[in-house]
Amino acid sequence: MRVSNLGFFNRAVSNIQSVQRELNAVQEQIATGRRIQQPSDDPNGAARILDYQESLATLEQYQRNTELASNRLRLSEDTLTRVTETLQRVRELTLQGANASQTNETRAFIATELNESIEDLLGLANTRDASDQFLFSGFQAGTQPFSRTATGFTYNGDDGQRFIQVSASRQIPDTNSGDEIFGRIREGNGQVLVTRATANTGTGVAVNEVQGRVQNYNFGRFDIVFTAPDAFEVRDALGAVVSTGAFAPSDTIAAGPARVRIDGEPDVGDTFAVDPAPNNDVFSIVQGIADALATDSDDPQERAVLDSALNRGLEGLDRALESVLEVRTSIGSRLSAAESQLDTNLGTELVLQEALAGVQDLDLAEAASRLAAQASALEAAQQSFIRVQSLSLFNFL
Amino acid sequence: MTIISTGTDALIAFQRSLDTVAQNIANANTPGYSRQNVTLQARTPQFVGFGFLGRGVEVGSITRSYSEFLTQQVQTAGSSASRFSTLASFAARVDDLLADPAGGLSPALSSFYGAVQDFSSDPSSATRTAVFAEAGNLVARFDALDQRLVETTRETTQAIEQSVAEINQLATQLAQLNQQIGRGDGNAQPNDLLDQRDEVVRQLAERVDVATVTDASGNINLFIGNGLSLVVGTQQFPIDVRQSEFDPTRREVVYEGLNGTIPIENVLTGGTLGALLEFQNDVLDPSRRALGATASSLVQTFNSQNAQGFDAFGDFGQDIFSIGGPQVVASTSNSGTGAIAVTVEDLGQIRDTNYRFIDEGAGFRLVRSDTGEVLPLTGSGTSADPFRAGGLAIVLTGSTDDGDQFSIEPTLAAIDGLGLTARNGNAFAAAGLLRGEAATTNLSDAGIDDGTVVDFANPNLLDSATITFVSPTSFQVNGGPVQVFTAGSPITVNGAEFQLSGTPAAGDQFTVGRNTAAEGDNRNALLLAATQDTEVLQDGTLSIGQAYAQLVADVGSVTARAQASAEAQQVVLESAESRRLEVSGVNLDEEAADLIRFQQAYQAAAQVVSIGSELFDVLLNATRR
Repeated sequence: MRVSNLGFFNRAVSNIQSVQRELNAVQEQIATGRRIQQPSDDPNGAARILDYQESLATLEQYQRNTELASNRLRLSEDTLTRVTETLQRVRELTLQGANASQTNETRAFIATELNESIEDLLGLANTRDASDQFLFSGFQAGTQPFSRTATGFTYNGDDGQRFIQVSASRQIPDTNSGDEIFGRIREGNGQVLVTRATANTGTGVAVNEVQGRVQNYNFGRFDIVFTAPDAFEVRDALGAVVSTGAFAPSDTIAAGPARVRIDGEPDVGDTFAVDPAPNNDVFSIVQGIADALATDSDDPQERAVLDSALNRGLEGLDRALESVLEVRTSIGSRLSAAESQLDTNLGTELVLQEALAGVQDLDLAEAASRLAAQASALEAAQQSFIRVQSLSLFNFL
Repeated sequence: MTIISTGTDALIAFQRSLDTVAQNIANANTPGYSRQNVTLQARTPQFVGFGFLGRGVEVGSITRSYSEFLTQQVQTAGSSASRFSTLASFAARVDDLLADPAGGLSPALSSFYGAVQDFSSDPSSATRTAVFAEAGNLVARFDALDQRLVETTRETTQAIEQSVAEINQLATQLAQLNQQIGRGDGNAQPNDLLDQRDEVVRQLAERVDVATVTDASGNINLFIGNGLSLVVGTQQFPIDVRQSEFDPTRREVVYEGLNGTIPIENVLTGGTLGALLEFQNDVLDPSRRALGATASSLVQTFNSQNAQGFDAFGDFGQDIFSIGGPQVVASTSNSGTGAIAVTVEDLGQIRDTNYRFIDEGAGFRLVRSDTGEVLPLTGSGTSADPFRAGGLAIVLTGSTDDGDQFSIEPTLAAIDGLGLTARNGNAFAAAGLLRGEAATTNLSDAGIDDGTVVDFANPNLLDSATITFVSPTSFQVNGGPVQVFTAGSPITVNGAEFQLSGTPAAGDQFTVGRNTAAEGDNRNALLLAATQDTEVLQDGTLSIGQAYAQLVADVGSVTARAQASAEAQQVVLESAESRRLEVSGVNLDEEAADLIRFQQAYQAAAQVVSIGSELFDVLLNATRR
């Protein structure tokens, strides 16, 4: 084989350049720490990196969402804890006010304190979150949920519930509407409310002894009407007599779904109504108690009015406490769901990051040894080139 | 006395040999140079009675060490090598552009959808501002990417023009060399011109695939494409670039032969020019189409979801983004006056190709330019009943003639029209349209949801309505006819379905209707965020992020293949070149040896002349006495 000088130089230069190219590539890999510099280095890997990065970004977004949801849930929980405390204080005051040893004056003091509690409750129900939006007005986050009107209290929001995306497949609600927590308290035992007619002249005070719900209640109305101080009739909604009986104080009368104990002495014509329990808001319930305590009660008949109002108020308070507790429980379970979702997401994030690193990151040890090998290959190529090119017959002419 | 003339002949012959060695040394580094040899031969001897007496030496010929086969191999390998190295270097630009960790589309997409998620978690004015800003960034990023692709298109066009100019120039040189070589006398050929001509052919082959035929008179005839003659003998036919028939921004390569001007882009392969055309058709245009399709898909899904909610002011969400429609260009050779308007009806059916709409005389035809597949058209082409095929709707106005053609690019230029229609963050529709409420006076605890729209066209969709239960199993809407209620089945009111939870009681009322003042409502915002994963493209198999990843992978594969081939072809070229050099190259040691050899021979011949002269002197001296 003949060796031409041009061929020799061309080959030598091309060899040195090819080693230099590889050296440059390794250097770039080491400098950036990334195995893939351009998608063409590994097209499939490059597409997977984009996939992983998108998944990771989404996951981190879910973490942010979850934390935001947790914060709002925690704020709701704190607020509702204080609502519970306030309601319990209201309950204590009501029981205190019901004590026979109270005078008109001391009851008025209690009524004043209860009015303060209403303002506290209103403040809590109108709590705003970190972005200055009302926590309990449903979707209408810019509208103050509860306000006082001439006739009572009104809910201005709606019962919308905001859901937060905490994972690809899971949304958790981060609020409850104020109407659900404060506005729709079903009075009585939660289904049936027994009331004393305002026209009653006797001292009878009615108490429903049925606690909790009754199955298959048909929502009809019943009236217990006293035909004599010791005799009564139970009439249905249409006025038809359902049953009659004799009465002695503290007897229990069955009327539809209710079993009504009547303390004190009713007069002839006195009526006690058994109605499907209406919804009332917690502020009106407390207001009812405060108003009753603020009214003077001197004779037994007035006392019966007071006791009836306080009984109704206490029942309402219990329902309100239940309602708040129910929401608090649900919030608690959502919080723990959010926490566990955070953990799950974190786990997934780790897996994804590992997968991403596997595709994207450079094996530094391997790259360093490649660098060393190529550097010495380059040196060898350069040295041998210098040695060989200096051998020429012309040197000896 | 022949000694002096023999010596003089030898001096002349060795002088020629030394001249040739000098020429070889001088051209040791000239590309395409073939080493030259002087062939010496003894002169015809003279008969002198007892035998033949030698009459010295003469130069037989000067030949070049040359192998036609090896030279052609270098030309062929050079064509492939320059094709792949050009393709690799151009494709690498797009490759770098798309996956730039800071400048690619992915970071902007992630930021935008992150902002939409933040917005959905808390639709306040702060998150509205952020999502609006991110939408602007996303548009700018799409624009920047598309702009870079357009610039690359321009550069490619320039490179094509330059390549064509070079080919024409080289072809002229070849024709001239053919002429000069043809003038050579008799059998002798001018070696250096032959080398030059081979070198010109090699340079031509670097630019485009060529075929050569050497004719009887020694001319090299050169053909490109499918046998179009570029050089025949001393005549040259030019190629040219002109404005494309279908795209005023595009240039196409044409051949100007004896039968007029014909476009030849489809038949040109190999070399720099072939690679540039390949890059334009296989990398650049598909990338712009894919990017345009990605943007179109984003805009379509986002806008249509936005229209299904209420914005910050409680009005129907308007378009957030605008996007360019299909690009339609009538062929410059159309004779009819007809025009077509094209809209994309189903992005999922659009493929990564140009489409041609052709008047066939007997009817119309829509053809995919890449595969030639004919897509069956339905409809009559009127605006009420457009031609439909492959996700496109085509409305024809005016009349076309048989053979008229239109080029349709569904998404190539879509990003030209990409913009932000929304003026601020208030345009993003976070809230749902409807709301359902249970009356406080209800006796049951039954609840109602906020409705699912089933018929957007219902004119009364947003009207308020009251659902009153006559009994737990029957209800009236706005006091209308009594309808049966089945637990679990929705109640349909004004084109929306409402689902009840729990069992209602007689007399219970539910009001449904327009959602107002719902600034905390994020129902539609959640759906907006979910559009990130909506799979629209390629028959509903690719989400926006996936479509972009696919584009990156596609361009990466083309680039990787081109780079691998470029390296492989470089090796082939180098080995072909070194095999040619083994035969034709100059070895300086060899020349040094020749130098010594001929120098010594020259000195010896000079001695012969000197001896001859001395002999003559002896003779003269002898006769002087």
